[in-house]
Amino acid sequence: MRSWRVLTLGVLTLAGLLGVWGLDAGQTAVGQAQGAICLYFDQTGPGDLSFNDMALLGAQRASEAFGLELRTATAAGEASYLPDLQTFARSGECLVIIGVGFLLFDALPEAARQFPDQKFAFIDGPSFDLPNLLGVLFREQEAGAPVGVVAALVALANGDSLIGAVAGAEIPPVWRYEAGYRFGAHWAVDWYNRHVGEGASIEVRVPYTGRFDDPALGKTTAEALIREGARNLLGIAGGTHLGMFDAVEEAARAEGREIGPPFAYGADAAQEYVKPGFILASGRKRVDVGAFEAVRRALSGEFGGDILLGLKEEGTGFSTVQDVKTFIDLAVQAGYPLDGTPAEVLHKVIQARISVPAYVWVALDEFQSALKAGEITLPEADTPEQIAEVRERYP
Amino acid sequence: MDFAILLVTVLPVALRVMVPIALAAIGEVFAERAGVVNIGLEGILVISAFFAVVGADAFGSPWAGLVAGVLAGLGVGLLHALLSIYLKGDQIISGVGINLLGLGLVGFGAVVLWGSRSFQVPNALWVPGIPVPWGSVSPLVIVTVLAAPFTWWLLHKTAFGLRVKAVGENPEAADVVGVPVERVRLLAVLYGAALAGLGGAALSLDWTHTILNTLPAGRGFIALAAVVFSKLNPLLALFGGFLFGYFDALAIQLASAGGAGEEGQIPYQFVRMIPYLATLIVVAGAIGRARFPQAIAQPYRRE
Repeated sequence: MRSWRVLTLGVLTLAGLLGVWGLDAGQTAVGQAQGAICLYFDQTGPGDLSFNDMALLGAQRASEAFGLELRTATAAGEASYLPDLQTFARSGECLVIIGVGFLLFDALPEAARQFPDQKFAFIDGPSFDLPNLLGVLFREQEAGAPVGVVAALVALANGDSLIGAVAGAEIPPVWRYEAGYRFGAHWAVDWYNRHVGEGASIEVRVPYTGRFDDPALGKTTAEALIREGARNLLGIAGGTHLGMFDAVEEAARAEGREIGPPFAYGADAAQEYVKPGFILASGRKRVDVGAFEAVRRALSGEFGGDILLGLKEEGTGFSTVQDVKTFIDLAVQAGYPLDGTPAEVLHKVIQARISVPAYVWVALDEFQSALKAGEITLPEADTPEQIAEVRERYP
Repeated sequence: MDFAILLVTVLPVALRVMVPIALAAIGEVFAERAGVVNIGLEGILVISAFFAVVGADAFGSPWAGLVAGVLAGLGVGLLHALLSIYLKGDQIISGVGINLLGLGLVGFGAVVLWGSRSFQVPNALWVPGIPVPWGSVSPLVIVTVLAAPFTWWLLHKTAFGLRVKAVGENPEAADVVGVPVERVRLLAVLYGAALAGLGGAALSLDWTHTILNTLPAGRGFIALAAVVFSKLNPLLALFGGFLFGYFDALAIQLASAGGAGEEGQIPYQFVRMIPYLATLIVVAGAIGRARFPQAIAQPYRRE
C-alpha cells in the first residue's frame, strides 16, 4: 500500500462510497440503550472471506445474540485511522469500538487515551495497559504448529527434506505463525524418526515478502521455494499468498496432478475451498470468536486487559472438515464462484486429505492432544529477539 | 544452488515479471512522444486485469479475456484523452484520478461480482503456454518482445509516427501544416492504453491467475520509471522492464535460497531493495538524463 499512501486524500471519496455501502450491508437495526457494536477495519476491509469477514461474522453473531445494532466502517488509508475512530467515539453511540487488524497499532491506543469513557477492543493487538482497551490476541503458534506437523510429515512421506512458507511483513502475529510452524515441523521429524523411519530431517524456509497485497510477489516467492525443493508451503501473507496458492496449483498441474503434491496450506480462514485438492489444510485463527468475546466482555463489565485465544479456547487450531464446510457455505452465501458444486469442492478437499499417509493424521491427533493437555510448550515469538531464537533453534 | 546456475534459472521468471511492466512502458513511451503523460498506468493495469477476468469468465475463454483487457485499457485511455486532450485538463491529475478509480472500482466490482475482494481464475481460463524445450513460454512474452520493435517502427518509420513526434514537439507547427493535433494525440494515447490494458490482462489471466484491487502493487509506477529510463525509446523500455524483472526474480530467489531472515543473514528488506536499486543505478549511471518532447504534459490550445 506504500505507493498509495500519498494518494490517500483522494481515496477518501471512493472509500466513502464503499463505506456507505458497508453500513447498509452491516446494519441489523435493533438499537437498544446499551449502544451499538462499532466495527472498524483497516484499509484491507471486509470481503476477504478471511480475517476481516470473520470479524464481521463474530460481530454479527454478537449483534443477534445480545440484540445490539452493528455499525461498520473501513479505513480509506493509514491517515484516516485516528479521525475515523474519533468520529465513532464522539458519536457516543458505541458500546464498544472494535478495531480489526494489527495495522491499527498506533491509532487505537491513541483513541483510547483520548476517550477514556469509551470502550475499545483491539483484534490482533494488545491492551497497552489501558483500562478501556481490551486486547484480543491469538496464539498463532497453535495454528501454525499443527500445520507444521502435517506439512513436514507429508514432505517426508514424499521424500522431501524442505518445507516453506510465504510470509507477509515482520509483525508479531506472523512471527507467531512462523514459530509454531517451525516447532511443529521439528516435532514431526522426531515423531517420524520414532514411528516411521530413521534419520529423517527437515529444513524450514520462511522468506518474508514485506507485503500482504501483492499476489504476483507471492507467486514468484513460492515458485522460488518450489525450485529449491519445498513442496509443502504455508501462506501467512494475506492477499500475497493467493499467488502462492496459484504457484502450487500450477506446479501440481504441470506434473499432471489434479491433487497435490505439491500442497499449499492456508491461514486464518479454512481456505481449502479456494483451490480444492491443492490446499491440504489451513491454520485457523477464529477472529469471529475474538470479536464475539469482545462484545460479551463489554456487556459484562469485566473489561480491559488482554485475552489470549488459543487451541483450548478454540480460538486457533487446525482446520477441520467441518471448518471447511462452514467456509464453503460462507463463500456460497457471498456469491463466490466455487470451482464445482459445494459437494464436489468438499469431496476434493477430503480426497486430498485421504491421499496422504494415514499416519499423518495420527501424528496430528497426538500433537494436538499433547498441546491441549499442556505437555507441549510452543515457543514465544512476540519480539525480534524471540523469533530470531526460534529460527536458530528450529532451522 | 550454484550462483551461475541461479543467474540462468531466474531468466524465465524475469520474462514473466517483465510483461506487464514492459507493455505499459512501451505504450506510455508512444503516448509521451505525442506529448501526453499518463501516470494512471497503475490504474489501467488493475482495471484491465479485472475486466480481463470478467471477460474470460463470461465467454469461457482466456483469449476473450485478453480482448476484454485491451478494450478496458482503451476505455480508460479514452477517458484520459477526453479529460486531458479535449477538455484541456491537467494530465497529472487525470492520471492520479485513474489510479484511484482503479483501486475503488476493482475493490467494489470484485465484491459485487464474486462476493470477495479476490478471485482466483480457474485453470480452464488460464492463458496456455507455448511449449519450448525448457518448459513453456507465455504467448504474452512473445507479444511483448515484438511490441517493442513494432512500436519503434511505428514511431520512426511511418508517417503516423512522424505526426506523433510532431504534435509532441511542436503542436502549433504541426497544426499549421494541417496535422490534426488532437486526433493524433488521441490515437497515441489509445495505443498506449491498449498496450497497458494487455499488460493488465497478462497480470491477472496469464501470470497470477488472481484478481485483487492491489494486484499491480506498484508495477504501473515501475513502468513509469522504465519510461524515463528508456529516454522514450520503446526498445529501451522493453529492456528496462526486463532489467527490473530480472533483478526482482533474482532477489526473490536469493531470499528463498535458505537462511534469509535468519541470524547473520541479509534482512529481507535489503534483498527486496535489489531490483529498485539496480534499476536506479542503471538509470542514473549508464543512461543519464532523459530528454522529453517540448510540449509534454501541455494541452494544446489553438491560438
